[in-house]
Amino acid sequence: MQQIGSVILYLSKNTEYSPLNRPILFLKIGTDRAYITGMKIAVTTWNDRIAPVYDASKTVTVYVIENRMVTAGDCFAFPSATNRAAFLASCGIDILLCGAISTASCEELKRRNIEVHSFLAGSTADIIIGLREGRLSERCFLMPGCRCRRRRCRKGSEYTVATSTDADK
Amino acid sequence: MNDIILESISDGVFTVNLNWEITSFNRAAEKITGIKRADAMGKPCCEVFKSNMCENECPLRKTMRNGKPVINAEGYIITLAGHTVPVSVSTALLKDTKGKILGGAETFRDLSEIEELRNELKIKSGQGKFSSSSPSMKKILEILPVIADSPSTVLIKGETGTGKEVLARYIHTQSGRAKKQFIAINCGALPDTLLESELFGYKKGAFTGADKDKLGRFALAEGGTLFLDEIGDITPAMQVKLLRVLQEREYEPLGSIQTLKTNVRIICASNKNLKDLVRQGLFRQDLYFRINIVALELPPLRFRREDIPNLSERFLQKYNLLMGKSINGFSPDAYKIISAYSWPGNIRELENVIERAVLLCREKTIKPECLPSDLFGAALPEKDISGIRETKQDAEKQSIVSVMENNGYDRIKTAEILGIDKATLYRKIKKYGITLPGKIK
Repeated sequence: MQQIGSVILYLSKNTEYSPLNRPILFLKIGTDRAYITGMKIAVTTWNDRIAPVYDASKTVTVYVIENRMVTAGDCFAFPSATNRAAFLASCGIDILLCGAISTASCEELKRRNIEVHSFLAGSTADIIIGLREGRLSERCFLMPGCRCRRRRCRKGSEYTVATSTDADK
Repeated sequence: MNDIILESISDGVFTVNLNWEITSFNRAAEKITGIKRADAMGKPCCEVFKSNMCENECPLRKTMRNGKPVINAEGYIITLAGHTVPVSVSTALLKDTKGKILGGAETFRDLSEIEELRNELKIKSGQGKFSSSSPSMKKILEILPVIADSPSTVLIKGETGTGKEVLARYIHTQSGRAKKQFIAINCGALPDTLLESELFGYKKGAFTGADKDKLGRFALAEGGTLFLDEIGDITPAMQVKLLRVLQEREYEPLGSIQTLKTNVRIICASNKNLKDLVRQGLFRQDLYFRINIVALELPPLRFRREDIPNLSERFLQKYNLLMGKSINGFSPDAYKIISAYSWPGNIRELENVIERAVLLCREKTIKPECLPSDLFGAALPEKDISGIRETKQDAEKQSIVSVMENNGYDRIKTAEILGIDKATLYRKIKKYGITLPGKIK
């Protein structure tokens, strides 16, 4: 986990507190790039949970980071005739959070410069909290049997998620 | 008693309660899914089973809803390693002695072997996957969809046994002509007169013995694809006739005065360097230009050694099934020999060697003694290979070294041929400690 240093984040006074609208900050290790506004995060969902299999999932919820906040997600249906990765790329997705995924699909997403955090399980809200707190590698967010976080980074760069606790320091 | 039975069967079985949480998980289920019982117990079944059916058409949900069992619903699961495993699923309700529903039971069978056979059949008919993990094949695989969609004539170059016809069939099946015929003919195998009658057909009475009309390959492939293998072996006279068909898209069957129009996509292949043949005056330049519209060069197996482990495993599975054997894999020594060999006969030779090895093997793994002696001369002198990763790395290193040697240690050209970035090549040279001569580009 990276130390954020002097950057301090506060909740907006006008924003109602909920797991989704707490501040989120992305750090790129080894650089001074602090956070990425406008970053889009896609989560494949099924009944408000992470869909078990990305390759067969029907809907995707897209969250956008704006002013250090995660906006409430918009839900989209995967167009059946379109390649999923192409669809996500056309939506400008930067990060995909999903359940089980085949190697072929994962490679396809990677080719399209989409960072994949796969084999996640649980409710969508919990996963967003896990992402915000940088805890997605913990077993409680992973599918049964996963011992470590399956992570794909794009172009060799690595992102980590800073917690608001870190930020508040 | 029930537990003993469940543990002894080869089908995976799990049961769920009314909250869809796993309540039992047998040994076969552990093996197929790769998840330990302790990890699975109490977890939602969809997060353990990870099937494409979970979200859309879960057989267990259907059974729980209407009480009727589902038998042999086919789908796939995804393992933690990201592998797709085809399965067939059957479901039933779980009830107590009073008939109260306690949950559901799902049995599932790994169909990988059956799928392998199906795929083999599909490959033979050109409908299988055309895949490679070799960087040298990357460019070809990238442009294949575009080529398949176009009506252009394709020239496939490559040494014998590199899979030229497989590629041609694949292009056909991926094209808009897939519903029509794919007709293949080996031009080198037939004398001129026979080749002409085979290609263009003949009319009754065209020559002695022509007692009825016969359709040629062009007519049979109408609307589809005609694959002309060994195009470099046809005579100059035949080249002229072929050129006319390619230019004018029309021909006359032997003995006919009627000109027929043709709508056939031509895919040619040659293991000879047609450019050299043109230079030597053995192949018409105009025909060469006519067929060399889209050229694909299949690299020999020695330049795509990364594929050797996967191809070996595939052929092993195939011949295991065909010969009713259950060989698990290759011993490290056998892998070492297979990886080190130069494979002048390419994939065809590799398949023949694996077939022979499966036939001779009496144990659970293929050992060097099952391999033909021709392969032994090229064994690597390096350290013992302990697994598939080391084998792949060795193959990668060999591939880089041989391409560099063949290209005068020109690293830019080597990177281009291997289909990798220059920086990646530098990194790999450093990683594998490949020594380079003093003067290099």
